[in-house]
Amino acid sequence: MSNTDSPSGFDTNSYQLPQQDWVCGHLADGSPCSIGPSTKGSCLAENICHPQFDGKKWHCTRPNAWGGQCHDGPIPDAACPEEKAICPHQPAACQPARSLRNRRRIVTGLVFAASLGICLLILGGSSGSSSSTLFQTTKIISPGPLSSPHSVIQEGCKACHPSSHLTPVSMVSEAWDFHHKKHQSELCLNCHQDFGEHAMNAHSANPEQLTTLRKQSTGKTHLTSDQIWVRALIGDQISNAEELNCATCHQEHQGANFDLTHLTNKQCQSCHENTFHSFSEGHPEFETVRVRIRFDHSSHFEQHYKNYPFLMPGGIPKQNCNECHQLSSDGATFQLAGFEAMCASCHESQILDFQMPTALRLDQFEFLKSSETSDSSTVKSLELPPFMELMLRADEKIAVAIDTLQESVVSGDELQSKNIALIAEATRSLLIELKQQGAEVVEQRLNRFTEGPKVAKLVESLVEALDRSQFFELLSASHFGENLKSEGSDDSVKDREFTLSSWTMLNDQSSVEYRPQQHADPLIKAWLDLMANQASASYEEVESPHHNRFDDFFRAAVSPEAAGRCTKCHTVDRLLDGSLRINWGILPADQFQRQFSEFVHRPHLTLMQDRSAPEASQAVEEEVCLKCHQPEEPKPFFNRSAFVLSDGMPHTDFHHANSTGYLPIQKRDCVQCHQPKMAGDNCLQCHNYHVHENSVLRR
Amino acid sequence: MRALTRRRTINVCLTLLVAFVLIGAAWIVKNTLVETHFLTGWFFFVTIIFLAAYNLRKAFPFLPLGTSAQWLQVHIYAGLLSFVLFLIHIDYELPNGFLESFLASVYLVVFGSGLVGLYMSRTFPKRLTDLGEEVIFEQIPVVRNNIQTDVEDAILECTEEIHNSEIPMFYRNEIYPFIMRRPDRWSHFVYGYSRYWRPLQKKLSDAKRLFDEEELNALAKVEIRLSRKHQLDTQETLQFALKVWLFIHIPATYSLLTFTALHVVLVQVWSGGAL
Repeated sequence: MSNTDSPSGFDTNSYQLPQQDWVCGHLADGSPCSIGPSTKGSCLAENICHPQFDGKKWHCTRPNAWGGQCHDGPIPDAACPEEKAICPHQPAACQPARSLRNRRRIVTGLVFAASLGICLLILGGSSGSSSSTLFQTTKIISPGPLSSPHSVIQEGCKACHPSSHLTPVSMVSEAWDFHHKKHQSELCLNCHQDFGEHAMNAHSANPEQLTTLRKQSTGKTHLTSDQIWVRALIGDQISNAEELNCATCHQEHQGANFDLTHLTNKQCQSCHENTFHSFSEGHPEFETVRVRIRFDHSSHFEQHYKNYPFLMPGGIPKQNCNECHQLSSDGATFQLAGFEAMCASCHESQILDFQMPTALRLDQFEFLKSSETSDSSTVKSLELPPFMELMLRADEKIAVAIDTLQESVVSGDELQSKNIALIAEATRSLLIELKQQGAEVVEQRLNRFTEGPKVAKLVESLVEALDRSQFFELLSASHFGENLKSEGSDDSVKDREFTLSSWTMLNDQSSVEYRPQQHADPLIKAWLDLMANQASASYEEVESPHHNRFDDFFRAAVSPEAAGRCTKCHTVDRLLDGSLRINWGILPADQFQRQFSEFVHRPHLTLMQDRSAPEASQAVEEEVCLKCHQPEEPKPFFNRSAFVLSDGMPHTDFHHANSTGYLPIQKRDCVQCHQPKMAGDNCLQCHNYHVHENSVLRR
Repeated sequence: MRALTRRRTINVCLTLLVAFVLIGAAWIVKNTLVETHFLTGWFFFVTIIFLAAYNLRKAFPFLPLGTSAQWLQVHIYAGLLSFVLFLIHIDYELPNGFLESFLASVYLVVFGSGLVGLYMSRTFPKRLTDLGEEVIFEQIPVVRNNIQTDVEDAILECTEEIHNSEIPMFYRNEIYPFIMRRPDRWSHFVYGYSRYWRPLQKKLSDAKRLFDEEELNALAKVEIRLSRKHQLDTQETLQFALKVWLFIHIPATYSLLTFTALHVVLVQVWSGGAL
């Protein structure tokens, strides 16, 4: 600016700097004073000069900073020239104005204060008593509409957010405490209770199962480095490293139609060490379809049905798939027609075969007689029926005596005679108790071997089945066991014979035994279930001298020659806790729980069906089935090794002997449609994330 | 290549590179179970704090934290990057919630005002230079007042020398309203001149036919000062614009910081582990 533009009379204005808070009130008119207002915004016009009188004249006292002494000097007051003088250069007083910067600072402060106030209101309103706030705080802080299923929750935020009860102060401190996130997931489980005990674990599987699965896929029992990295990023604040918060995958407030379960393929693979590009590129080939009931379609169609007149006279061979498999109402699976329709014509006679040994038997009375006659020569044939031995073993002394006799048999030994007498006396007591007290005796004796609620339930089932089988009624109605007291018993008693329900007492009353009269006999099932559960020792330990006696009972029960021949078709699984389980259904006992994979048949059948062919033509459907389920070469006829191992234990390897007789589904058939821009290849189309803890481990 | 162009090219390239890295990293993380919004949110929050620190930096010029010019350069390019982070953070979609929408709006106000400020600070100085001698914004009223005095003096002088001159009447009717008029800011801002200036010029041109030589000499002096006044109005408008955008940018920044802090607390407390 040129000096000519400057206000005349004084030096260039030094106060008109941008950082000054106040400017002269006359600035807007273009005629500001030279001194400007004070820093606090008061006008300094009156302070520009205080004329001093030296006795002769008035002197200007204007500071140099404001222009220095003026030439004119103060003008004495006309009335009192020696008392008062006026500075001729004193500017007119003004009301100083705020500078632009000062105004900006005020606006900034006001906006900041308003923002802070609103934030505090929101923070306060979002805590506990949100309903009492001036405005709908929850609607303000909500990040978006809930999905349709969750939008009907009446309790409001607190139903899902444990933080809703926090005060504003505690909310700020909680922001850095990550444990509350687990509590939030626990609130999810208040409603979603069907994910089992380990719902928050990866795949809702129990830790052992996860460890085993990880070992199978990666060879490691601990988290991989990638998984640790991912978990570090996702803030794995939960103590158990296997656990994930629900919100890790299910993120709400994305709108009514948002799919909460959606995950991308890459997200699925972010935890998996064995990754691949897509379903078409890298996804493992499918394994052979395996079910829990042994039925080799290939052998049946190619061999058995062709020879059925010789093998199974009266049997009815099947002609097509629909005779046994019928699409379920939801179109997802094919349901089996049941034993009667599918198997009975050929296999029912095997169940009723009276030549097979049964575990549910009371006998060895000849042996017991020998204890009274001191004829120990029969000891070598001591082989107590499993049910009877189990009852006797409830007494520890008798168990020792039985073990001693079974391990070392030396005729004429004093200890042997003593043990025989001991067992004989225990048998008599058992029979009397069974006749007098019934089911209570069996339950008491079985409970001495067992612990835990699961086993107690199995025992209860067995006792109940035993009671319903009229076993105790048979015993009560007979003189069974009474003729053991002396060799010369009453002939009239000896000739009596009892057959009640499925129980049969032999003519000489030396034995009473149970034989199934139908498929799915409840007593046989209950006995097998109990034995399977108790035979918990792995078969690697079978050679041990201290092996579990239940293993022997179980072996006898699952033998292909055992009464009922149940395990000829029903496979056995070894569960993660080591116990064994008979599969009574086509799927494991937890068949209604979700598995890792699922396949819905109906849409696929619709697509593959030849629409030009007559509707519902069985021939066409047969053809459709065979497009995916291609039979493999028939195997040789089943033999004993197909059902049990050399040590008599059943196969528990899922991959062994469970073949349905079909080749694995070919992935290339699926890939024809399941590609990104066609039918889609999202992992979740076929795979379930949440499985359940009782799922059987696939080996 | 000029140093300024070279520096600007390097900075733009670096900014684009970082932007691509951020977008790529976000895409990779998005393909895991890691919640991208949390990571980008924290990055974004830190960036906002850093950007706001520039204003504080100016409050402490004595601290050895680099020059204000260096800070401005970083502020500009970090601000541009913040928009990339913002887009990643909102997942390239409009937010659903009220608070989140409001927060996004406040950010867009801050970012938009910053862009406007950047544009003006890069283009207006040249326009101001083209307007001739630059006057400090705070002193423009004083200079304008001086011009008014000069014009009045010239008219008075003319009146004293020439009897029955039409110039005073012309001054009262045409020149005085223009001198007293507040700057026509919108017109100056957009077009670079007042919509009243050209009509006045035309009237001055037309009036010249009516005046004699002495009057024309006086009128010429007045015209020079009127032109100067018009330039001053343009200068005031441009300088005002250079200052007034901060009335939006800075308060909105503090508001953004406050609401972002609230957003962080709410998300941390209510998210339930979607990390």
